[in-house]
Amino acid sequence: MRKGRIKLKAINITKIFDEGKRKVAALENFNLEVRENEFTVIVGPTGCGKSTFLYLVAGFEEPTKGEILLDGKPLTKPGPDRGFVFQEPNLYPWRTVLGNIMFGLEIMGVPKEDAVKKAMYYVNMVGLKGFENAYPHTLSGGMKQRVGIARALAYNPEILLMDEPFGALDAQTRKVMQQELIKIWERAKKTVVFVTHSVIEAVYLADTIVVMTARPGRVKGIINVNLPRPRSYTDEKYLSIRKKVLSLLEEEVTKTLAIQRKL
Amino acid sequence: MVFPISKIVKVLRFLFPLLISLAIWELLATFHLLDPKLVPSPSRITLTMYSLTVPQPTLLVYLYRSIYRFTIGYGLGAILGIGVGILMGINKHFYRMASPILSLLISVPTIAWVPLFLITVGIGDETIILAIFLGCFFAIVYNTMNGIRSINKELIWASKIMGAKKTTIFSKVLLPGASVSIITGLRLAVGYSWRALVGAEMLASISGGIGYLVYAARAFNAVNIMFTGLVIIALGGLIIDNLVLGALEKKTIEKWGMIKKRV
Amino acid sequence: MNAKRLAETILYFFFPIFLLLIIWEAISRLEMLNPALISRPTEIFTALWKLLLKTSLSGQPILITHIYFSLYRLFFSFIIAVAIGVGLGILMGRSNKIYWFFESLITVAMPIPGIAWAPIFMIWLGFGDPTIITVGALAAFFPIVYNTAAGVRSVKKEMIWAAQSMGADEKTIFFKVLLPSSAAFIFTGFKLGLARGWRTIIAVEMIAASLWGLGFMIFDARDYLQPSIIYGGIIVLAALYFFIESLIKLIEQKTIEKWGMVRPEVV
Repeated sequence: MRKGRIKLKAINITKIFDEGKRKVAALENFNLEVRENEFTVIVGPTGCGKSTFLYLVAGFEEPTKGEILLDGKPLTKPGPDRGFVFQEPNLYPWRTVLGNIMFGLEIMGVPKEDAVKKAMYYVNMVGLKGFENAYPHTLSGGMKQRVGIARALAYNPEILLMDEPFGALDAQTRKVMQQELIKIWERAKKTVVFVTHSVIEAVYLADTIVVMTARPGRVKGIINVNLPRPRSYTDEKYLSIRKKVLSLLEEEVTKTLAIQRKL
Repeated sequence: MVFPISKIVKVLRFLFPLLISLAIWELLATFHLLDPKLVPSPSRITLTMYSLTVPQPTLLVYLYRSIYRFTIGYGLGAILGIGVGILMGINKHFYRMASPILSLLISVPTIAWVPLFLITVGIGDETIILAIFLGCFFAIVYNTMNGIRSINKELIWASKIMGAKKTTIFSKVLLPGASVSIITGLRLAVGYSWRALVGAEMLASISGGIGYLVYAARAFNAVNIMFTGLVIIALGGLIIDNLVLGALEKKTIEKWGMIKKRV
Repeated sequence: MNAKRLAETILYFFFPIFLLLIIWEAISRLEMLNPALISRPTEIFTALWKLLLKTSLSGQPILITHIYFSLYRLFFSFIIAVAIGVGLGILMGRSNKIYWFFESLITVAMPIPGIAWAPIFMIWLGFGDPTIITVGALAAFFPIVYNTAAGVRSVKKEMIWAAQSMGADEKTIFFKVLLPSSAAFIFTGFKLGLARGWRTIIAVEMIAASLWGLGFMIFDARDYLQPSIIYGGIIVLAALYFFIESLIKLIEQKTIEKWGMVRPEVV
């Protein structure tokens, strides 16, 4: 079992949204440790605050209480020590594939020649060679998300945050992307925090699966996945871990439905 | 450049109904079914156009005068309009103060200002240019502001996490992101300004201009000149819109796939 | 809660306008503006108030009559434009040949500003209502016919087939499928047409009205060098159109928005 040092640490995170009359607690006393170079997947029922947590790490939102440490230093504002992949690719339509991937390097002031070279490395890594001068609107959904991943990796952040990046893709493309992502991750040697509501995806990708409770989100359980890669979706061990995660989740999904019925 | 057959067919299909209508009109005039003092025949309008251009280029001089006024008024309106629109788009306080005033002023017909300018500025170019300016200004402000305010939040976040500063976000995310709306505004505003020009030249010109031509012809009951003026007004509006702004659109937002190609 | 929101909205809306008026008033009181050219807000509102109370020689209240004439011209222009525009628009939507024929004519004529037609119609119809209403109707006609045709053409074939398979005849299809499904487009046409008609009527009143109408009032005030009446007229125009627009929004909310059919719009 890999026992890397702790890269990201969330301590007693509480996030309360003020929606006029109602105050909604998305996260309450949420604690998490993510180890270096590990692939951590957070799963939870809809609305459990898993995306909110990712937004807090990214610095798009601020926690109401608690602290998030990256390499021991507290995080407040968004910054290039983190990379973010959204559910929608959110590419800049006025920039080519290469232009999008270069953007982070451009902001850092990397000289253009170096930036192009580095960006091209990632164009190749995500399998988009030949498309570097295409505009995003000419690409398919899966290709766009590849650009999104390359853009987040290109400026070499410490940690990669992924918010249901394959949620908007069709089932087949999603599978291909899962396989590709593992290959990219193995080459890029990055710490990844990946949010999803799909257990199939979680068990396929993760070293560590964090199962969250229904709202307000807390850690329900942590499951280590010690399966060799590439994994098979039908392998017996894979299925038994899937069952374990599902049984943890099921209770929470029932709770979520009960909450929704009350509203 | 070679025109494909399909393009020629398209042009012919467009022109054919116009030619038929003109032919019927001409026939009606030939058989004295139309009073020539009230409705001149197409051939007479063509003849008028000829006599106003070839022996003495009156028509061209008038057209030049109009285009000169238009360029100054519209140019000022575009520059200031985009400027104010940007301010309203990025500054909340300025938006709060200015948007009620904008929503009132945008609903005043431009022509209503002309009598006021006639008193304060006097008859002549300045009044007409002011009217052209006001004709486009508010629409450009509104569309620029809207374009910036409605940019997807995640596009801004994506640049923030890459470490972009405010100035970078402004020039590399906000401005290109608002370009669809800005260009739409500029295009709409051409029509508004052209309309303001015609109206203002009727009320406030003493020295030429295409609106003045139509209005002055009233003194001699010269319907043939009025119709000539109408043709020029229609063509002028179409040309500015298609040649100038259509080209800009093709180079930018159409290439980026932010709007569909015009058929 | 709701009442509080409403009060806040109203405050946010009117506060900047009041502030502007106060600054304007202060500047002119300090004699930094030439009073012969730029009136004080208080002068403008006094002038408006006087126009509201004063009656003409024949006993009509002046401001109200000006407003009444402009609105009634707008009303008739709009009715004519709707009748012809929707009628032709539906024909264009149903038949490709009719569409092809009129499309180019409309494309060429639509960009001509309404006011440019005024001198010609003055020769044909003379001063006054006939010219003003006709030119207003002509201006309002184009957006209405254009959007109606586009709306009818946008109705999905499947929706018509579905009705046909249930045994609907032509009349039923027209009233129960075509009209409701193109309602959002037609409504957009109405809105644009009303706005165009209104602007054109104010403009044409300046050159073709002989006694009444807001356009006439404003243009006439120029002759007597009364800027406060022009400012007042502009305020009345803004307020009236603001009111008309709110009314349209209300109708829109009660009809097509309820059906979930509103198109994204540009101004």
